[in-house]
Amino acid sequence: MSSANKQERGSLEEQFRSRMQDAEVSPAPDLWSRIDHELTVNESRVYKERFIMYRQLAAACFVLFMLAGALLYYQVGNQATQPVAPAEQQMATNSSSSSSTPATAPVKAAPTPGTFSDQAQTGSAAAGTLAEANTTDRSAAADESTNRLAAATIGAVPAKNRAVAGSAIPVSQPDAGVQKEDLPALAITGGTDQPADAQEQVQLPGSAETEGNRPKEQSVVVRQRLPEEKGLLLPKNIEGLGETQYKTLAAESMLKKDEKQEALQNSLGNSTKKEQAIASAGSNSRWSVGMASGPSYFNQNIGLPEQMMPAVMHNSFAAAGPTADAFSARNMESAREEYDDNTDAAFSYGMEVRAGFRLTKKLKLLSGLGFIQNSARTKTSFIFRQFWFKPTTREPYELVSTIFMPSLTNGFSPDSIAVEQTNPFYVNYQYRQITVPIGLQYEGKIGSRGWHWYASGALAANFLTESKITTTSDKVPDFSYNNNNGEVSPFRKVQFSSNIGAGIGKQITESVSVVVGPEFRSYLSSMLANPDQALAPQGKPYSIGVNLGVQYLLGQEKK
Amino acid sequence: MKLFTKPKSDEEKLIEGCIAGKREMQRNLYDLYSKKMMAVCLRYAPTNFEAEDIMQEGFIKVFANIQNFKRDCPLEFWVRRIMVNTALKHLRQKSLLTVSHETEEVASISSETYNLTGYSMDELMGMIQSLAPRYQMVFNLYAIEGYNHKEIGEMMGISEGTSKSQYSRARAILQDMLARQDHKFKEHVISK
Repeated sequence: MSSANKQERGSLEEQFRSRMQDAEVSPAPDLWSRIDHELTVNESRVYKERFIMYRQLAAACFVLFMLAGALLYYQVGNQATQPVAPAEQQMATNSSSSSSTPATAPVKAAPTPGTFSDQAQTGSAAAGTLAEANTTDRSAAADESTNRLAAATIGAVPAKNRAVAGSAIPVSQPDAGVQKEDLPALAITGGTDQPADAQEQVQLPGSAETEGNRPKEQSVVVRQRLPEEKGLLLPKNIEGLGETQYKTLAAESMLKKDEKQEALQNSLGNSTKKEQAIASAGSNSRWSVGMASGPSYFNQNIGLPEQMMPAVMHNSFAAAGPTADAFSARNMESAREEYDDNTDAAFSYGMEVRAGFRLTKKLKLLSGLGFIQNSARTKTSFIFRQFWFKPTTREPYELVSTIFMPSLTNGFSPDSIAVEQTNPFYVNYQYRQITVPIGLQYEGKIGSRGWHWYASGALAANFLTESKITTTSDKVPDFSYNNNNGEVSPFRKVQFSSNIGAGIGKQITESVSVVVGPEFRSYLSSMLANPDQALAPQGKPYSIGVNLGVQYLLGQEKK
Repeated sequence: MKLFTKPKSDEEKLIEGCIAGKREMQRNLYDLYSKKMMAVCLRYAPTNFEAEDIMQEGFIKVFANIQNFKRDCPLEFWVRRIMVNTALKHLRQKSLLTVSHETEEVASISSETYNLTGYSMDELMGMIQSLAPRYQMVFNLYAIEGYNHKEIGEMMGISEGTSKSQYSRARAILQDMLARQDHKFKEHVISK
């Protein structure tokens, strides 16, 4: 305090100060109880806000966890498929038979007399096998394959010569009898593994010829192999074979090859690869993500009292109620009947992002995050006008609504109420929820073309984010309850529901499948937060919808 | 590690208990200061009801913000300051402190001496409460709380000159009241 101000202070100020500075006045006895009550309210509000915050945090963490987990598994799956050798990929692009095991190729090749295709299979298999061993030297692999083919043709020589089948036969060798050199490739072609009787059946078309022709036949076989691999071109230079013989040989081999391929395709079908992929799809990946959405029929099941007006018309000393004339009472009854008769489902829908984890071959754990908008509407022609007085200022004000709003709670006590009839208009009820489901899905195959069926059951926590009651009438204002406008919503903030669904699905690609089927969602509690305070018994809402979903299998091995 | 810790004063225990949200400690703090604070609120509020509202709001603020108390002054001063600020806010919200075209006339402080010992607390409180809210506020802040006009101007959102002018007017009204009370008293004595 400045000295100037001090100088201004006179006796009056000092006297007042000395008397008032330490004055004490007892407050009202109930003042502490008021403070205590307000403190309690504030604390509960803080706890509630904290609880909501933790709940939202938990939901966010859960979603993040799910997304991060899905991403991680997706990345890991990709990395697992990336180190595949180029030779292997090259092999995958070869003929479908190249994927067969090397051991089986010669077995098939052996019984077929001089079949080019089988021998070609053997060759390519050998080449592929070598390519696996040494992916950098493709030409060497080709040479080796030639040797394998030569070795494979050992089966074509008579049994006495086949005693040396364990040894490789150089292609250029004119005589099989001098083939003493060991080649490990034989182990691959399995020439020596063939039973003697099976080898006995092996005959080359030219085997009926003289022994002297035999090396040449082998040479023919070998020489024809390479062009055949390149596109079944007939060789221009044919040694030791007459033109007629050669043409016969080539035609037979072509025919048999076509027949075998056709038979193979017929027996396995074009879907074989897809089926194998589908079968393997479930075996090497447990995680999947998907989206689902679909329209639904929603029944909010909010009951209205049958005798509403008598309840509010009573006007006694014990309980003063609002005043209403008989005309309004009749209108109110008509409005209630209208609500019962004209309340229908409007367009409702839901969208969900789901993550799935395969627990067993057929059982899957599903969870995710979704948005639901449940809607219903009523065609009505009655407007309710409630007249209130503000408790503090006693200012009159009017609340215009339909029969729906006053029926939600028995806490209303207008000073008077009037129900007037107008042109028909629609009242729309919209409830927006964030849903977090967790459940199980059981799947089974249907046939062999990638179809499957599913049955699912889930429990979901549905968080009401906004509820709107709108009308198409200009006279009735819209009501909206959300987290921002501070209005105390009569509707339940969190509702649990049990979801049951079933349907069929189709594998589109190795990783993507679509599903469709009905879904039933039954809420475990009523829409109203305080059904006990409502004027009528409240039912539990439900919705019946169609689930349209897409599912992507994470970590699928790339073919 | 401290082997010997200074024993905590009752006020410190009270503060810590209130910070912890213990209702018993909050009640003790209320009991300790409620009478003085009620007197403060009465000086600022036009009516007793409003004084109670101010006091209720003030104590809620005290309990909500006691963790911010820096212990650089006695707790009573801090609580009192909160009550004054709450009263100021309360009156401002009710637009009772707005000034419209008031001429800044500052009367000189008279050297007249006063002796208020003959007046009861209720009488003095009644005199202050009978002032217009803005005069009441300025008089309380200047004469009793000890703020200067510059500080009062900042608190009330008025100029320093306006504060001086309003204080001068409030003082004049109180002097007039006291003079009339004295006159009545003298007449009463003479008539006897």
